[in-house]
Amino acid sequence: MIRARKKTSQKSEQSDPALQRTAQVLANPPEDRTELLAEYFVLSDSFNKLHHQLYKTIAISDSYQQQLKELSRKLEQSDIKLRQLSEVALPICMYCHKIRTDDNYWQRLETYFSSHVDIMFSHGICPDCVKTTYSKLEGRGQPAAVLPQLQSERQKAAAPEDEPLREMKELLERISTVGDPLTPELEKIVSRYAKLLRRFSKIVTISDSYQFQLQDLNMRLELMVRTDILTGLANRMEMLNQLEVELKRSERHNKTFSLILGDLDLFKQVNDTFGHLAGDRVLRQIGTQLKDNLRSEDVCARWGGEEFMVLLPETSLEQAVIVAEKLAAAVRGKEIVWDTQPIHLTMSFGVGAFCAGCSIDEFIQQVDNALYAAKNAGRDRVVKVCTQKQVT
Amino acid sequence: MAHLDIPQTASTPLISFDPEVKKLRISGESYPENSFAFYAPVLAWLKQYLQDNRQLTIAITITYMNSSSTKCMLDLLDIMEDAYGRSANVSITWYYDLENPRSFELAEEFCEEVSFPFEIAALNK
Repeated sequence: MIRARKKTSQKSEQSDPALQRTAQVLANPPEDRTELLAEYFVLSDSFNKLHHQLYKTIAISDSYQQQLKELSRKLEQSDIKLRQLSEVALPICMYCHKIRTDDNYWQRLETYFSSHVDIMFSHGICPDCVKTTYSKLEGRGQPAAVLPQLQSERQKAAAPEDEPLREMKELLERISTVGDPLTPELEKIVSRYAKLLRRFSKIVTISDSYQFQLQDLNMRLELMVRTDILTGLANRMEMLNQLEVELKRSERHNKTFSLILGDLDLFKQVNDTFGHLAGDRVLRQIGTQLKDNLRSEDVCARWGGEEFMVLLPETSLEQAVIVAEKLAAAVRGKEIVWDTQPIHLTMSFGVGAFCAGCSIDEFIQQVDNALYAAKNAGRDRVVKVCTQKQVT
Repeated sequence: MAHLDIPQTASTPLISFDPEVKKLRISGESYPENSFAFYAPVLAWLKQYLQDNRQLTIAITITYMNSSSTKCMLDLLDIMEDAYGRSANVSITWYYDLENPRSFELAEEFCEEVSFPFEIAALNK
């Protein structure tokens, strides 16, 4: 095979006319120097052409190779996506058409979503959940969001009719029965008016629909900005905003509020042992667990890494400690399954009640110190802030 | 016949006529500061072009338009409808975004306004 290829390439070299001519000249060199020079010129000209062609060919091949390279890279990416997608393809039973729940399907789907946030943004959160989460974000201290409502099923609207149009139609009927010469004129005006009216209502319908789309996008964007995508809880920014709101509210109504800062114990071990996807799953489930053990007016946020913060409006330190103990017990009792293996975790908590005159930053620092103390005292416990130098 | 070739910007669509295939392309988003001023030359061009009942297909791919652009678009449909009434060979292909459920309904809203051939097609990305 290789030899055959070599042969053809030799053949093409031999068949080059300039080389053949040179071979002839060399076999029988002319006496005349000018003739030799002319032959030399012909040869160098042919060489130049070949040289040019070679570089042209190289450039063209390079560009094809570049394209091939890009194509293969794209194929590779698509292949990865395809493999991931085939893993999460809906396992629908061929016979009963129900979605199978075995084979850790949801776990794989969750994993897929958490590594493809872009899909989460466009499709991963259904419109109803966007609305619910968004309304919850708004709820406190601010008027509830007014969400756009459009008919879910588009209906072909009947031709709109208003009072003037009805009056004109009546008038038209009256004068046409008595044979008024103005009838055709009025008929024209009435139909023009009807068209304008229809046009007006059409523009309103179309614009409403575009505005609805904008509003929907806006809502998704705001949700992205204010929530932690992994856990669906408020993010750090949102918590800081809520703290500001609560601070003002407590000053106005002279009521205190409390803060709980919780940190998962030895979370790094989960990541190291099971991988960070397992870690993500743990964070999501712990987030849900915390949220489920709180009142609807409490704000629960992912403060960072494996740290969660809970804002308890109108709550004293003693009440907040009870809440924190409840959360600690909830985390302790939670079993998270990853690849059929159970994961058990505990959480340490710092708790503090806001004292007038304190800044938000100072307040958070105090609670953080209490959390630090809980960690130092052996984890899986609740430590409250000692404001008046009281020993807890 | 005057040339019609308006490049696309963030707030205005591309509007370009290909005389060879008698096709007018309108694509992009439409929310100019002054829609009526923006569309006036387009509507004037269209009126003149259709004066002699020439053939025309308009391919529309608009993902967003504001109210005044909607008004202009309906005016454009009116001009087409008039020409159709004079038995001109006019048609529209309206491309909608498969991933946006409202997009198809919007196309239907426009489609309802005319009696000439109005095709609603999925946009291939």
